[in-house]
Amino acid sequence: MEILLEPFAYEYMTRAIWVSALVGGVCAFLSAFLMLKGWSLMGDALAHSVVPGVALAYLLGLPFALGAFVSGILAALGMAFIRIKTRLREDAVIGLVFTTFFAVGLLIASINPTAVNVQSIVLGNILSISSSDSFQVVIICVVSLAVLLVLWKDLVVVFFDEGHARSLGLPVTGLKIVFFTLLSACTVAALQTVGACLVIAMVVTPGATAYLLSDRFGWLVVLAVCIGVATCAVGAYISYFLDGATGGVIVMLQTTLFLIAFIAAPRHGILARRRQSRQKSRPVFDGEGA
Amino acid sequence: MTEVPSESASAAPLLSVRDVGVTYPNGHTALEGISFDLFAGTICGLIGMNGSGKSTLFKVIMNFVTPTTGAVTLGGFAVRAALKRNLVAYVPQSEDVDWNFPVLVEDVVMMGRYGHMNFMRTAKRLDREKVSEALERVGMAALRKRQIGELSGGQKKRVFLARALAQEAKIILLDEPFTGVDVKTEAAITDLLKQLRDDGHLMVVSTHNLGNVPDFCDEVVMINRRLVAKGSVATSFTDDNLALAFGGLLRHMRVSP
Repeated sequence: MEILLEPFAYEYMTRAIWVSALVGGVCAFLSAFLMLKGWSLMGDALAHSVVPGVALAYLLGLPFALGAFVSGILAALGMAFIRIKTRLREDAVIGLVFTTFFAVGLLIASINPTAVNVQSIVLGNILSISSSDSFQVVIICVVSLAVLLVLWKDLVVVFFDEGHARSLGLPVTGLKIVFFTLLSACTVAALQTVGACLVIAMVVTPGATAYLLSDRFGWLVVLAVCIGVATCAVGAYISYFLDGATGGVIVMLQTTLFLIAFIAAPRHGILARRRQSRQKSRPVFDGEGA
Repeated sequence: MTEVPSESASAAPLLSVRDVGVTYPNGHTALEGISFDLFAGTICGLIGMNGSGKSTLFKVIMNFVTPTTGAVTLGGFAVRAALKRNLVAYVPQSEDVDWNFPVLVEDVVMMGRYGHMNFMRTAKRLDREKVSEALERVGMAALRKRQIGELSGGQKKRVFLARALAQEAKIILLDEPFTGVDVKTEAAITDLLKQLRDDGHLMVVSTHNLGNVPDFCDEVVMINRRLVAKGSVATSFTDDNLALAFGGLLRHMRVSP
């Protein structure tokens, strides 16, 4: 029992747990939107694209969020520009831009190994996050959460039916920009928690799991956020006993929940699907037998 | 031709398209010098082949595309101001909708009310009443708790019509509403459109299904990048105009006068 409570005795652990939970919750909120549009890989792309900004910010002693933000925006603009000006498909454009940015980031970090820790960028370092860094993460999350709570219904309309959104006079392009701004901000926050490589899980898996559990967007968001908060908090806690690897633990927990939903979800799980198709086929079979 | 009785709106056009031309940044000219007026209490067929500029014209009316020349006014307002006033509703083409989206029938219809709500989009009692009313009117009240993907083709159409009703827009744009629906549903949709016309709505129906145009349209606007013809079905929906609109591709088709 005492061993189980041991992590809470350390300030850095309690902080890691609740900051992770906050990040997980906001990322999960965004994931509910992201996977509906087939834009999931945008999250991955953004997470990799912010790396040069983060590296440069550490090098110059600026807040990492600022650097990440600038480089995320540059990447997004770059993608939009190439897409409009060429006939390349979206996946090719994303692949092209994010790998370039990531490469630049690694290059900067490897040239200046003292100022920038490559490992903490790629794998995250929530257990040893500095208080100024965690302050930035908290600000990002709280602001994003507030914006999402006000705008989520408008965003649903934009994502569901852009034509209708326009007929309502909603600023469709503006809302999309807001969404991607939030997404890049939150991937930066998640970068600190689970690292660039695993951010994609944070902004996809909770939403994907909740999607199997609910047919109603409002509930989907609630479920996704609960999953995000719980897995991140528990993941950070467990990682105390496993010595580091917070990102890995969190994502494994999320995947476990996804697998449970995949198999046992009441309507969209594979067991339920099998039951439904059996029920459908039975009367036909009986009819033939009679 | 039906005339709208005692509507002051009948004096001024509800939808006025003035010399609208659209040239896309890649140099493709989708529309050129289109002008026409439409009045309240009308069902107008917007007829043209694929690539004739029908969807571009819809996009101009919805402020999705800014015309390179000319302008559209809706009820006397510029497009942006008209949209803010909930003057326009849009019924999308079935294939443009993600039917796996996690929304229930009633959620979709409630989206029609967003323009009437505060910035947080909290539904008031009036909003819920309008949603129920709209669902009753299209005969979908019993299925309001279904996820939209569980519906049949005709039911899916009716959900979006209900949303347009809940929106209480004077102008309703319908994008290919008869694609992939059976004859019975087609009749149900046209009946509903006629009721709405009698209530004083203007409906613009983009279609390349010409067979039923004389059955439910009062007027037609035929375009082939330029305006080919505009007028009542009796005078304008003719073989000659169809040949112009479709570039002679419809020679085998005859429209009975």
